[in-house]
Amino acid sequence: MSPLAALVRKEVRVELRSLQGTVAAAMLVLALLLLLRFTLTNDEIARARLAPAILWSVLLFAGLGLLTHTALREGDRGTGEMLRLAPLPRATLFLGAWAGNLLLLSGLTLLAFGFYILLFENSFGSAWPSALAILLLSAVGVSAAGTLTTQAAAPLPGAWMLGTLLAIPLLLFTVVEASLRALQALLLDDAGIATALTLLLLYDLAFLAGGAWLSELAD
Amino acid sequence: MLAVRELQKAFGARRVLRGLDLSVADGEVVLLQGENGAGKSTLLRILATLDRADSGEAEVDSFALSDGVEVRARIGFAGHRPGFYGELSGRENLALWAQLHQLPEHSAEIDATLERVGLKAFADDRTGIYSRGMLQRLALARATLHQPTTLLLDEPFAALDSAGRKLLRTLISEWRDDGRAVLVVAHGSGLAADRTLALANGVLA
Repeated sequence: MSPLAALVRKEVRVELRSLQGTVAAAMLVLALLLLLRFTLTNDEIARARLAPAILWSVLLFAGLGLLTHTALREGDRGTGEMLRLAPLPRATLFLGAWAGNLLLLSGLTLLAFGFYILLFENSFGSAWPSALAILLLSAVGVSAAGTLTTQAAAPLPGAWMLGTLLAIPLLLFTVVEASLRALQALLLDDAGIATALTLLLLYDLAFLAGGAWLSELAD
Repeated sequence: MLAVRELQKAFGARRVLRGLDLSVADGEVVLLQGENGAGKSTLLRILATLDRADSGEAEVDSFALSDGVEVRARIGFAGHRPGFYGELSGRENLALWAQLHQLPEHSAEIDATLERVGLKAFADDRTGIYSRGMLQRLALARATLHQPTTLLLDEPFAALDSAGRKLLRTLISEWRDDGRAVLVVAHGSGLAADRTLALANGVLA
């Protein structure tokens, strides 16, 4: 097994055996969706228009909570330090953590989408698989930026750590905006979806490549 | 072989290492002592590439510390924090380490290492239920699993019972006989080192 595959398997195995991050994130998803379900307008058309915003609000909060949990766990136990003792380029460690986080975030996205369909109307109609695919594609960039930022923030003292973590949504506005545009275009059957998807893919690649490069630079 | 020249490290205004020179030859055990806060752990962390020195040079088997991948392949490090995944068993933690080092066919080696440190009966238990002493034994197993040429051990006797301390002294003796360079930070360990050095005010006294 390659070191990268070993890192991904470790990430998933540790989380699945403890369920600490995933259960908390799933509960947060459910709580936020319920909150939005009972506080938003009863106007179906308005709610349909808000679908991308609802999904992104939920995924951003719950997803970043999950990524923060995995990063802090490595720091608290000293396992992150153990990984840094391995004879691997730092970029490999970053990519391993990113891939593990992407799997966890994808699971959370599936769950959030399922809850959304249950609690709200399926605003996307028969295009719901495309909407889900857009969200999963966005998870690539979210997990890349989230992994990099949470790894950088984990060793920092309280206020600095919190400040860094709260900066993640600012860092991610590019991915979120492209994803929102793609979802809106899907809802309105707009031709602009191709441009939005291209932008989303480019942002994903930029965050992934940038994360790997910055990890090497920090060594 | 380990060679350190003019190593300097400061944390803010506090200068911890002030131009430290040190060498540990192959097949030599060096015991490093000093008061709390003298900079012993900082030195080991720099040599393990976990921290960066402000200036100076250090080499492991002629590889400069800036060549992190090569250096890390040659060192075995056991620090203050064991650093194991509590959800994984002792065997799984070591298997992860072997995979990160790309060791081929590591199952037999892991079994042998676990037996050597007295943990074979607990190999499939999750490390979350290990005692501090058991974690220390596992950390020693991990430090040597990839057959490093240089061992950096920071307070390795801590938390070990008398049998564990005796075992560790035997292991260190074996590593010396295997031709490895061993740098140990310890106090009152009863370790028969080839040289004992004292770190004070950032330099070797």
